[in-house]
Amino acid sequence: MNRKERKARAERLSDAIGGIDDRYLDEAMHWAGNSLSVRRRPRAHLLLPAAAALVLVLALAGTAVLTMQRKDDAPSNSAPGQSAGNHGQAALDSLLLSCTGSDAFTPVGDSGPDFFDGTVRLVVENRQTGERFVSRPLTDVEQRLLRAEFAVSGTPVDAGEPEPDCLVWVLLGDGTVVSPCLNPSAGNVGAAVLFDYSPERLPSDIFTDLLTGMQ
Amino acid sequence: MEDRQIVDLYWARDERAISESDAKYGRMLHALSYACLSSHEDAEECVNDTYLDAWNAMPTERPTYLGAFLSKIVRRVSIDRFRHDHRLRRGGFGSVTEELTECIPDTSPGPAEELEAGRLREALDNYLGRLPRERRVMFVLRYFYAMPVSDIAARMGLSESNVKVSLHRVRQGLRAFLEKEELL
Repeated sequence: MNRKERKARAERLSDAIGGIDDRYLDEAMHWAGNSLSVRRRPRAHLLLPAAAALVLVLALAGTAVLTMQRKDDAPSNSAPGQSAGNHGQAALDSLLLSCTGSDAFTPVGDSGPDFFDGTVRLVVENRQTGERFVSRPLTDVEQRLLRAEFAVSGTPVDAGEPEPDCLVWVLLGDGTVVSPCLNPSAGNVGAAVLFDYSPERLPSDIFTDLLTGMQ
Repeated sequence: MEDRQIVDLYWARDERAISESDAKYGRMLHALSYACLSSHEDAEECVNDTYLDAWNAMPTERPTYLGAFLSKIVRRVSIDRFRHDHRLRRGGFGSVTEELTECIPDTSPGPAEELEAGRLREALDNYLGRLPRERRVMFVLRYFYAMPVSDIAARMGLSESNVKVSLHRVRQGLRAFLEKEELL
């Protein structure tokens, strides 16, 4: 069989694929699977500097805590919802975890969240337990905050930064998923789901304010 | 709006059916058409043609999965346009068809032209039904939705090489299946 004939047959096969059962198309279109747990892994050569950075951060944090404890009458704990911009990923993780325990979030079932329900929602994954939580539809005010979050450039996550305990996504309700970097783009659109793996960044105070309001 | 409600609008000849379809599935349809044509303008036209085809098909059809129904139309319309225009652009739908040549057996029992398309579709459904769900989704995303391997990998939480290997095995399996069924 020559190449031309093979190609013609492949086209016929492609045409036949165009007629496969609607259930399979629907399954692929709405397939969530592990899609919400994707995150780039740190490269092996970055692990050592990352570990060193972690030790340094822990040492500094320990010193800061000791210093704070010595201060008289000063509040020893941060108020809930203080910005991740000030406290980094750990504070954001803590905030996200407390959000998932609030009424605003419910556990995601086996079928995954509905990508097409026409409402804007947040999805939070606890990476320790693998549990995912989907928020109630965001109000207009919350959506405005989210849009403001998208508009800022934010602080890029250092490549050596330890991975967070929680991951968060935004479902825009039209099948679009905005990835952890919280930057929407016209990037890799396919089957109605968008993933954008441009450099990740810590959400700004705006985003932590939004989460605080949802607790 | 639920699919069923949108389909009701089509049946009622209410033009909101188009706007609701576009609001819910427009982005996905455009992405699928663009994957075939590599042209936003052409994709836009194909999506509009899709709504027209859907408008003409309902009634009498009442699709259960409106997204899948519209996807099939936009795929067909886009591939027809692609072939008509002979736009064998690098990275366009030509590369997807090229990969499918691997599924064509070397020793075919007869001219493919004589085989009924319906029988082939039935065999494909049969084959897909036997695949593990993850591989079936992978196959559909690649060969129906023409999604780039990198996007499939991102969507499924797998490495690109993992997806490539899995797709290769699915293609080889399909080839064996088609040979056994004496199709193509």
